[in-house]
Parts: sequence; C-alpha cells; structure tokens
Amino acid sequence: MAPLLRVVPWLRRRRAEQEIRRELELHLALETRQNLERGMPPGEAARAAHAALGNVPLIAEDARAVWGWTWLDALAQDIRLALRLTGRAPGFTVLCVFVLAFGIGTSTTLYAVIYEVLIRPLPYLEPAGVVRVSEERPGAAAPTRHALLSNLTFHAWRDAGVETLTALAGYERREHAVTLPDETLRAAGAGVTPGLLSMLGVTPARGRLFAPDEPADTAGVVVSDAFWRGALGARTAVGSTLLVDGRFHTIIGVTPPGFFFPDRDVLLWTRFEPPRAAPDDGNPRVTAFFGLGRLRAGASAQSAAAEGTTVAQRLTRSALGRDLLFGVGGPPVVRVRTMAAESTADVRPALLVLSLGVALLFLASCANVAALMVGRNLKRARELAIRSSLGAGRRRLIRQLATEQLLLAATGGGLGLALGWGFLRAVSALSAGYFPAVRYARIDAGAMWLTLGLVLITVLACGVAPALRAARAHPSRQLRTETSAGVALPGATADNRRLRDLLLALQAALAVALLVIAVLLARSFVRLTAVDPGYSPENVLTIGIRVPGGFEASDERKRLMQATLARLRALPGVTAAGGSNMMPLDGRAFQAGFPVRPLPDEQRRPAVATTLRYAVTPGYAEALRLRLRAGRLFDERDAARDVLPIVVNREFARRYLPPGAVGTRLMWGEPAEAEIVGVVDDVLKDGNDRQPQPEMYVPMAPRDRLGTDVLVVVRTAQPSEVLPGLVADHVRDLSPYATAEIMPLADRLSLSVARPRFAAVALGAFAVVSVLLATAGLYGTVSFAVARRRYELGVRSALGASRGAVIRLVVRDGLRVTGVGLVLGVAASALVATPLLGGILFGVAPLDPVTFVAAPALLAVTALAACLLPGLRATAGEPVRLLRCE
Amino acid sequence: MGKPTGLVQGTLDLLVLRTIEHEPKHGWAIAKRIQQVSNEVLKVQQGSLYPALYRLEKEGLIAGRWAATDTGREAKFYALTRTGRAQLKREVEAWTRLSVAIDLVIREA
Repeated sequence: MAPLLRVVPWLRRRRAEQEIRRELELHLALETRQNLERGMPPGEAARAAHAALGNVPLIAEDARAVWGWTWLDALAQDIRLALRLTGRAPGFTVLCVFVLAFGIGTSTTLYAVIYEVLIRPLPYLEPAGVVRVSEERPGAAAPTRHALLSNLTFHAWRDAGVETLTALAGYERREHAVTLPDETLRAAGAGVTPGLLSMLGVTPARGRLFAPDEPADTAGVVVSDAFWRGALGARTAVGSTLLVDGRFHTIIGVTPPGFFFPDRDVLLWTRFEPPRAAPDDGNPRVTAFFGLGRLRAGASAQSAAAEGTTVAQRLTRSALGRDLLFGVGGPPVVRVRTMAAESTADVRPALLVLSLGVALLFLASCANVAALMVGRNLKRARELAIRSSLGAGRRRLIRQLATEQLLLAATGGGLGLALGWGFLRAVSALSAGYFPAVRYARIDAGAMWLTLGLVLITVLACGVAPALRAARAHPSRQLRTETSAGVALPGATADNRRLRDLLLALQAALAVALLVIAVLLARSFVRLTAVDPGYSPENVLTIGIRVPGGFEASDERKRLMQATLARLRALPGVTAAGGSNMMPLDGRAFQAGFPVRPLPDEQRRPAVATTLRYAVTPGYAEALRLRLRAGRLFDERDAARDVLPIVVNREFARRYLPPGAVGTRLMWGEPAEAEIVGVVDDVLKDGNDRQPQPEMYVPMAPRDRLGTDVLVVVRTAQPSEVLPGLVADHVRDLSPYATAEIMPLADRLSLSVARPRFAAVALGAFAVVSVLLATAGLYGTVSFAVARRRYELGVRSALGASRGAVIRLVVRDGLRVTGVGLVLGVAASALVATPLLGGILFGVAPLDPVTFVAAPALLAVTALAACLLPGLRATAGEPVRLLRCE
Repeated sequence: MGKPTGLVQGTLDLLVLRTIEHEPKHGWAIAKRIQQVSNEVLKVQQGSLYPALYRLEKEGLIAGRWAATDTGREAKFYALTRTGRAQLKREVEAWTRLSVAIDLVIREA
C-alpha cells in the first residue's frame, strides 16, 4: 500500500512542480516590490530578492524531495539513460543478453531435470530405508535386464524369518485392461504382495490398503489418486466394483496425491502372491519378480544382503526354471540396494557429468558477461569521469550503473527462463518414451530465484565495482590520459588480463570436452541405428490384441489369432501376416532350456542350454523378412512328419550345434525327436545394442502358451495409412471390450534407441551452446582489446605496418588462449569423460581418433573467426580513422 | 547552503506553525513574519522555508489553498489543520519545558 501511495503524488507531479515555481516567483516579486519600496534601484532590488531567497532550482528540488518522488524520477532517468547507452552499443548488449540467456536457459533446464530425477525424495515414509532385493548367479548371463528375485528365495527367506528387514515384499509390473461404462482402456499397474504398500508408509486418502493377512482369493484393487480423479471422475466410492481384465475387483482404497510406485505411470495395484513350490516337487515352478524390503533400524544393506545370500545358498534343490531365469553360474548371491540409488543408478553418472558441465557452463557465461562488462566499463571510464567531475555523487553513479546492469540482467534472465522452459519441453518430448520422470520436471520458484540471484550478483559485482574503481580515483587524470594515447587505463592491469585469459581458456576447454562427448555419442548413435537387427522393420505393423474377460485359455487366443490373421491376409496390400508368442522389441521373453548332449570338440558348453523359443504361425518369418542362411523354413511337409521341425538362428547353431547344423536331430520331449531344418540370421530382439542370443522357432502347437496379448505382425507392400484403422475396426468387431496396441515396427525400433538419441541430441545441444558461449567470450575480449589498442594500431598502420601484420597482432593473443584451452579440453575429455562413457558408447572407441580431431578442429575454426572479425573490422579503411578517437 | 540542523528545523517548524496560528498566510508573508519575530536573530535563508512548508503540508499539519491576495495576485495561503493545532500546542509545551530546563541548568551552574 505504502509504495502505491508514494507513487500517486508522482502522477500529479507536473502540477505540483508548477505550483512550486509559481510560489517562488510570487515570493521574488513581493520581495522585489518591498525592496523597491525601500528605495533600491530596480536591478538591485531584483538581485537582492534573489540573494535573500537562495538558489531557486535547488529550493524547488528540495521541495520536491519532500514529496519523495525524486527516486522515481531518478529511476526513470537512469532507465532512459541505460536504454540510450544500450542502443549506442547494440553489439555489447546483444552479446550480453545472449550469453546470459543461454547460460540461464541451459542451467535451469538441467537443474530442473537433475532435481526431479536425482534429488527429489521418493514419496515414501523414510525412503532411505527402502531397499530393492534381487539375486543373481555370479558369472551367468541372465536373460533379462532387470534385477529380480525368485519365488524360491523369497519364500525361503520369509519362512526362515527375516532378521535384517522389517518386511520383505515383492511386486511385478502389470498391464491391465480396465472396462469403464463407455470404454475399455489400458492402464499400467503393479501386482504387489499384501504388505508392500503399508511397508512404504502410505496412508490411503480413502479406504484401506491390502492387509498383510488379506485372503488370497479377494480381488481387491487400490487405485491411484490420478486414476480416481481421471478415469473414475472422482465419483466412484470405495467399495464399488471395477472390471479389471474382465474380472470384477472391489476398489478397497485410493492412494494420496503425489504417491507413486514403482513408477508414475502405474495407476492401480492388485494383489500379487509369488507361487509357492510344493516341498516334494522335483521341478518346482519358478517365477522372478522385483523384491523390495525395508531395513530394520541398525541393519545395513550389506548385512541384509549377507543374510539373504545365506538363505539362498541353503536352497539346494535344483530347478530348471531358475537356470532359465537367472542363467547358469555360481551359487546365488542376494543383492540389496537402496531404492533411491537403484532407480537412478543408470542415469546418475551421466547426470552428474552433465551437472558438472552445467555448473561450468553457468560459470563460463557469468565470466563472459563479466569480461564483457569489464571491457565496456573501461571504455566508459571517460564518460564516468565526466559525470563525476560534473558533480555526480558516488551514490548516483552506482545507481546509474546498477540500473544499466539490472536492465541487462533482467532481459537476459527473462529470456533465459523462457529458453529454459522451451528446453525443458523439448527434453521431456525427446525423452518421453523411456525417461518418464523428466515429464514431471518443472522450473520451480526455487530454481528461478537461484539463477536470477546468481546472475544479479555476477552482473553487479562485475559491472559496478570495476567501473567505479575506474572512475573514482582521478577524474582529471582519467580525462587527460584517455584523450592522448588511450593506454594505461586503470583496471586493465596484468592481473586482470591473466584472470580473463584463464577464464577464456577454461571455456574453450569445456566447449571442446563437451564437443568430444557429443560427437562420440552422435557417432555411437549412428552406428547403433546402422546395425542389422536381423529383420526388416519397414512397412511392418505390430498388433497386440487383448480381450478382457474372454479368451482366457490359450487355445481361445489362438483361435482369435487365426481369425485375425485370416482377415488381415484378405486386406489389399498385405503381403504377409503371422502370429507368434513374442516379437522383436516387445519386452517379452519365452525361454526354453534343454540338456545338451556333450559334443567332443567343446568343453565350455553349459549342461543346460537356454534359448529364446518362438512359437510362430506360417507367415511370421515372411512378415519380418527373417533371412534364411541354410536349410528351409517351415512348410506343409512338416505336418506329415512325426519329427518336430526347428529353425534356429546362427547364434544357436554356433553355441550348441556342430558345423553343418541343418539335419541335426535333438531329443526334445514330446514328440521325442526334433530336427533342425533351417538356420536364420540373428534377430536382436531386445534392441540393437544387445548381443545376439540363441533363438529357436517352432511351429505353434496346441500346447504352446501365449502371453496375455495376442501378437500379430503384418507386412504391406507399401507404407499403409489406413491399415491401423482397419485393424482397430476389426478388433472392435471381435469384442467391444477388446483393446489393441497397434504400432509400426519401425516406431518400436526408433523408440528402442530413444535413449542414446536423447543423449546425443542433449549433449549436442549442450556442446553447441558452450561453443557459442566460448566464441562469444573470445569475440568480446578480442573486440575490447582491439578497441583499447585502437590508437596504437592506427599509429602502426600509419607508419606502414601491413594489414596482415596488424591483424596478426590482434589475433595472436586470442588464439594462444584458445590453444591452451583446446589442449586442456582434449586432455580432460580423454582422461575423465571418455572412461565414463565407455559403457554407453556403441561401436565407437572412447578414444575415437575421428572425434578427437574433428571436435578441436571445429572449435579452432570458430575461435579463429571470433578473433579475425574484430581485427578485420578494425583494419578496414584508412588508418587515420583509427587515430581519430571519439 | 545545506539543510537546517535538527534544532533549527524544529524551531523553524514551530515558528511556521505559530505564524499562521491565527490567520492563513502565504510563503512570503510567513518569511517576513518570522524575520520580524525572531528579530533577525534566526539566520534562516528564505529559501529553506519552502521545503519546510511542503513537508509540514505533507505531514498534514498545515494545508495550502490558492487564493487572491489583497493586491489581487494568486498566492498559496497556508492554514493550520486540526492536527497542526494540536502539534503546535505540544511543541509550545515542549519548548517551554526546554526553556525552563535550560534556565534551571544555568541557574544551578
């Protein structure tokens, strides 16, 4: 309120000023008249009146000061002045604003991402105590990327009594079809053992959670706040039923807003009970899922792991399923890691490197602005000296300078935040597929104030202090020296220059290091996409159909598959269509294991061979264009024979079969005999960055199990726009509740490399920004040096120095500094950054020579341009122009 | 040139309030009256009167109004407001007490 009241009279100030003037005029007139009446001559009378009154403008100003709006006037004046001066040095202004905006933009973006991914605590009670529990076989090549726990270990540990954990729980991710009154939608869910949610310390917003002793046959579901508000419209009360996967579930509770587990996309939780093997079962059923626990007070992750390992190793029963799920290796080892560390383990190093880069980048941009300001204010020392000698007080000068700098900072900062917002949008769009946490990253008030505060401090410290020092000491000497030779400016001491050179070199080093990393990642990405995945994804549509509440049995699903295939094959443009129990990049794995007869020539072979086992219909291999290397694919001859035909991939043949694999007979359950009829190229099922794994294809038989989704692949002759729509119609025909996930295989492939693509693009953008900043800093410094040496350069030219010689003089310093930076940057990236990247790179050596030549070369070229430009500009035209200062 | 010191300023305020206690006056008249009353002892520049007037006006102790003088010119006449009158009373009391105190100090010395 108070500042507003102070502004109100300011708005009426014109009238008030007139009043003051009129009053003073009246005073003078009356005084003069009195003096005349006392007999003074007219001229004398007026002069005496003036003398008695005092300095009229000063009185008026004092009177105005009483009203308290002078500060506003001064501010308006400062801003006017700042704008005018800004307009006079557009290059400087644009450079400053650009540098600030990019510095702030990138750093706020990355700060927001890092905060969201690494720092924000998980929404659980005492999240530090929540641990992931998994087991592995040392030396085994586990077929899955996840760290899982087996039901055998889980139950054995629970039965033995868990000492180090307050609770041991398990969960698995689930994909649900939820039928609502007007639609069936797919929702990500998680099956959790009954104690899990309460172990996390969630207090339900409504209803309850699963009770630890919940009867196994209750079909309850806990829904998230988001699902309750969104899909259920915040109406459906606890206790009502929800049709999940065609089965009625009772909604028992709603979690509070902000809670998520294990990921934000999970909307509902159902019960999960790891199967218990009968004690006398010779070949127990083995499942693997995610294990979770909470450390008891005083227990550490190590002690928990030791306890679990003891239990796991006591399990002597051999289980084929365990070999399949965890690979064949040494005795099982249980691992316990805190959930926070585990969930960010794969991104943490990258983000830490990145945040180091961000900090450096932010410092670099501040340093650049500082260098620009120092240079500019030295140029302005003369102007400040004039102001000071004309009577501008120190406080007034500080205010004027501060206003200018603040204007710059505000513009740069505002643009930077806008840029950061845009960056964040781009980043979350780029990373949407695999890095969902980024979607929730926000530039919050904290980040905003932090950056703006830092910028203000930088700008004021760099802008105001040196200028004042320059202007303070001896205005008169300042005025004299400046006009004569333009040398020996205060502030341009050797110390200052060394600091600036160091900053420039560091910037060049940072830029070149980032460039090296970006180029490495880009080359790695190109390699990755150039890999032959063993199938051709163009014009292939993948379809996953799920019908909740029906088609429970596998043979029903197979009939659905046949019906679907028949319809698809009848569509125009479809050249091949086939079904399978799994397909490339679908995240499923049907593993089979079989004993391998020892072959004399190889000893390293494991006793149990594991392989991916595809059960396919005719048309599958044709739709994916699997390439036959030897033998044949399945055909009608197979039906007449009593032998199971098998097609294997080259990796299978290499590992398990003697040379000339086609025709080899295997013992394979029922029917007793199987024969290798063909060999196809390896399919990189789980992504281009994976090693080939043994694969076998068998014709789909009645007893083959299918996953929850019926999977079909279709190839068309041409890219088809209408096919997805036709497929969707067809699926609706089959059942109004059916949902279909329809996606071109090429999109799946592209999604599977989204992460390296994101890394390459993000680092690339980052590198470009830092190169631009380094170049801008160099340009600013060299221009300043040229401006400072203008007079000297003029004299040299006038005395006959060639243009080339003068330019060399100017460019030399800048390039020397850059050279030092290049060497530093290359060394740093070779020593520090590349070992960190070793695990991420694909098909490119961390010390890739092409990269290590190209990146520094690129920076050298921009640096040369940044140095040459001011030099060329200074030496263009007549030398006398340089001598005519100001 | 400077601003009046605390004591002088306080005195000046008091003098201004006193001068217009009975009838509104314009700036020049106030200045003349103060000069008369203080018998030219108070060396206050006429000019510093005006900032004081504006300050008092802003503080709500006096109110200015434009009106014609007896010679027909427009002038701003300042009059005491109610708070101004109360303030004057307080200041006079304080002044009297101060004078008494000084008297006592002098007498006992």
